[in-house]
Amino acid sequence: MEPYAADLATIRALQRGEHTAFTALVRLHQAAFQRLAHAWVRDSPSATEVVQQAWLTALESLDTFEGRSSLRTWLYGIVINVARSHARARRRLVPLAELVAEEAIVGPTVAPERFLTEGEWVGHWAVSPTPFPAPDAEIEREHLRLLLEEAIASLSPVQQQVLVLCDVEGLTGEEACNILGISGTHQRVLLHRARTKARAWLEQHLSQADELP
Amino acid sequence: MSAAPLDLPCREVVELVSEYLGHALTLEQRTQFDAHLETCPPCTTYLEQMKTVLSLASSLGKPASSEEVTQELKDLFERWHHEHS
Repeated sequence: MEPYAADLATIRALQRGEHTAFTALVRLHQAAFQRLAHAWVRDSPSATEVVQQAWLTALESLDTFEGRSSLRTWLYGIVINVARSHARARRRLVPLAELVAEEAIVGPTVAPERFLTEGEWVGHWAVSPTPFPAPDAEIEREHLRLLLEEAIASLSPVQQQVLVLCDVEGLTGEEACNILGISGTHQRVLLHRARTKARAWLEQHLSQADELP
Repeated sequence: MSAAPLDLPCREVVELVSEYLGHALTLEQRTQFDAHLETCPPCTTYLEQMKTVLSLASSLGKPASSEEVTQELKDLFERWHHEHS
């Protein structure tokens, strides 16, 4: 069996005009499309416009899907390309490779002032992290989810893309590299930076909430 | 605290968390990391927080498309198929 036989079957169903195949595909990927588009265009109406354009581009390019990657990988690549073209039309857009090179820098991701700089315990915590509230209750978990959505929106586009692909959509690092056209090293650095910033965002906003009267 | 954490300062531990969670550390690094955690509650907290971030990320809601958007996409598909059949 070909590795992406099910995906090729979906392509053939779309080519036959089976709208149930298209609806199923939309149901599976619409949320990811919206998140990936939002990283580059930053407002919901534009993201929706990008998503529609991406679906149309995908439909018009069905003949070019060769099954060398999964359909999901292929689709996410399309939405990112359309989103970047859309953003480029509005403003000068720095080439992706340049953005990645700027951001995938190996170095400290946690603020240096959080660690001791002298004494026997140099390099250990000066300001320890405060545990997050236990997200057992669904209401607390929903609050944390909303904060995480804000944290993701605050990341740079490339960090957002890597975090959405790997941690929200559950793609492998290799799949994310293929979609974004970046190296494994860059993907790992970007993902680690994105997660670290998301954690810091949660910590900062949860501590502010604690300080409220 | 024992002297063990001095082998790997917290500043370095936090940079290894993603690789630790992704099982990408060498056996030696993982052993050092685990030894550090045993004696360092703040780093254990930090690791738990990162696990929370990952768990929340994987559970982020899939916002249902509005009826309007869904209908627009269905229309888009119908138009596309009509033009290509």
